Amino acid sequence: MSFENWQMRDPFHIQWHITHLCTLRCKHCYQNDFSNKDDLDGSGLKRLSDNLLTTLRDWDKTACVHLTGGEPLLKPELFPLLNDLDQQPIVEELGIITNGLLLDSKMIRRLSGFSKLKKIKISMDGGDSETNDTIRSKGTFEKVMRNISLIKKDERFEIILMFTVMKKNFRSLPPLLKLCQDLGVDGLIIERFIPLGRGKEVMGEVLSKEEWKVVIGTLLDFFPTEGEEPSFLPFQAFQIRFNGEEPELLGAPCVIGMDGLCIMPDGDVFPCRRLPISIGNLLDDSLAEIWKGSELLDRLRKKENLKGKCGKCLMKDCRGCRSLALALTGDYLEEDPHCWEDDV
Amino acid sequence: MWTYRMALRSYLRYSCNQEGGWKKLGLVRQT
Repeated sequence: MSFENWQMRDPFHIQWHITHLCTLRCKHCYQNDFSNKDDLDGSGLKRLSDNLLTTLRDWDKTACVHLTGGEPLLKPELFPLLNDLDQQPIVEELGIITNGLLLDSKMIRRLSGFSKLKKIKISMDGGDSETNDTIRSKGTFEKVMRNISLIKKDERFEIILMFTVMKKNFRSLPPLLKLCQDLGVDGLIIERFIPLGRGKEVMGEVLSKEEWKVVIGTLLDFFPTEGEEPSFLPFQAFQIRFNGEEPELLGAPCVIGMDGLCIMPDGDVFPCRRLPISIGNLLDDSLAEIWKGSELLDRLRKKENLKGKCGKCLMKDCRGCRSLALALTGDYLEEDPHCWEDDV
Repeated sequence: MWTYRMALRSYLRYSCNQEGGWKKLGLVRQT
């Protein structure tokens, strides 16, 4: 098996932050800068997209591209970019990650024109307006509720809510699960707050490992089991799918260096949005060069490089959360501060 | 009591059901 295909699955996941512009200033935001000074223009975006697709064609891989920001709907060049990607045979799926505030009927109609744009992911940080709006800003809960009902009417998109858990809102998971069912959304993704950018000002909002276990306990209460419970340790995010006959729970292990990466507005590539160390720039380097040549990715692909419990653990594809390790210890190879196993 | 050995056993049991980057944990809510 060639190096670039090492443990890679299809499709290749790209989370592309096309702008830092945003209508909100959420307390936990990973950004410090909310300007468009680093943004690429239309030709820059096209150059990047050609770079990505050339390598993926060489690898015989398909792409799943999720466009985000900042707030991606603020950037007019989003639409020509979507149009271009929509016409590429190797692009399997397109998605938008948004704060949901600009999704009026006109915007939804416009987005409906892209056949591969199937998922709209919307940030929601609580199951009620008080919890959500304390973090995201006053009035956002009600506005997003209204816009979700507009998207539902269109019956065109999967709607997935994105919940960043922190001290202020982790006890809001049960009402949020109920809200998802009442709204009839297709999924809820749960991820932990990592203190970066503006979020460093609320460092104390990072969950303790005991609080992260409470979140997992809430999931177990929602999915009662009679037999052996699955291990939740290897998963850095959880998704509850509501669009089957019954709700179902899925977990996502860390995918750094395996089958995806994150692109920033200026073309810099991060292993993950929450691991803000540039491993190259797609204006200067090909995706193939970055993927093969990055020493950081190489280091992170080898579990034996990890320190403490993480290096010794027998769960071979669990690497803990490297972003949390970096944010809390300053070393991305340190053991995951949220691992609760003491007898590894 | 929940032990690392139990976690490891269930990890090995559940780690093969894949859907994209997501692994199905075999938990479905019965309503």
